[in-house]
Amino acid sequence: MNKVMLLVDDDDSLSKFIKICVEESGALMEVKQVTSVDKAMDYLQNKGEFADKSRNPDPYVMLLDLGLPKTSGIDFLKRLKNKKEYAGMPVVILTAMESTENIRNAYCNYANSCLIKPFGFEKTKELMKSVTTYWGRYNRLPDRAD
Amino acid sequence: MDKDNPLVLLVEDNDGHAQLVALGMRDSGIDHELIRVSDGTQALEFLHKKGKYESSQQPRPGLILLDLRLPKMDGLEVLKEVKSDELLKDIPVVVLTTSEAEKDIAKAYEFHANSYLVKPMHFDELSSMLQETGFYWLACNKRAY
Repeated sequence: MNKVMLLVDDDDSLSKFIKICVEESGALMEVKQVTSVDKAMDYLQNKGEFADKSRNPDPYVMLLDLGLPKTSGIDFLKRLKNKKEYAGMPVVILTAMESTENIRNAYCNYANSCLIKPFGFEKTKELMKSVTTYWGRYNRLPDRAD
Repeated sequence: MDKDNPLVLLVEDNDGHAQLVALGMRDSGIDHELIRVSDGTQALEFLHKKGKYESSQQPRPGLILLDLRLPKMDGLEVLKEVKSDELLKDIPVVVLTTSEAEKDIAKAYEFHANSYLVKPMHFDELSSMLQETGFYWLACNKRAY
């Protein structure tokens, strides 16, 4: 089974683009997209359409947009990092909001890393190759149930 | 990509490991300056500009590479202090250790390590890992300042 990167972003076109870039980079990582915090929680708790844990395993890394509808990415980050059960799941912020204040706020709420959304196929592919290699191959996670 | 010339603080007591890490990071091809300290107390003195670092002109690090087994103050204690300090908690801390112990991995994430890397035994594998690590954290990752 491929390792899963959970992409939490309501921008469908960017998400499709990222999926293609990850596939083209040759990474043994599968991108699964959800478009809201509620759906992301359903995924993590294997509820509703994500009930089958064998098809929806715990992600090796979550890429989280900050500008999400209803609940913001930063509020979701706070919620995750306050729960011990998610402490070992890397949350990488992927945002177009690159102000120092936004980035610092993300780190101060224990984002594992922050990335700026790239422009263009080659830059996106290069970034996704680095993300999948680093978080999928080298970063070590606590023991997992799956 | 974020490629200005950041400072990397390496906290490592083993001279041989420190040299290998410096080489691997250099081979990432991303310009940076690497400062090494060899125990946990020195690491905190460097970060707080205290003791022999009181008049240091060095900027704050853009990345900390932190061994766990350190003299005086171990790596987990350093991590806990950094991540509970409002002025330091936005600095990414990557644990870089030989320990694969589950309790160390779990504790490191509980104390908000940004990442946990286990040093491979073979030089080529270590070098590859450090090149990727350097590229990811120095060229791709966005720092807060």
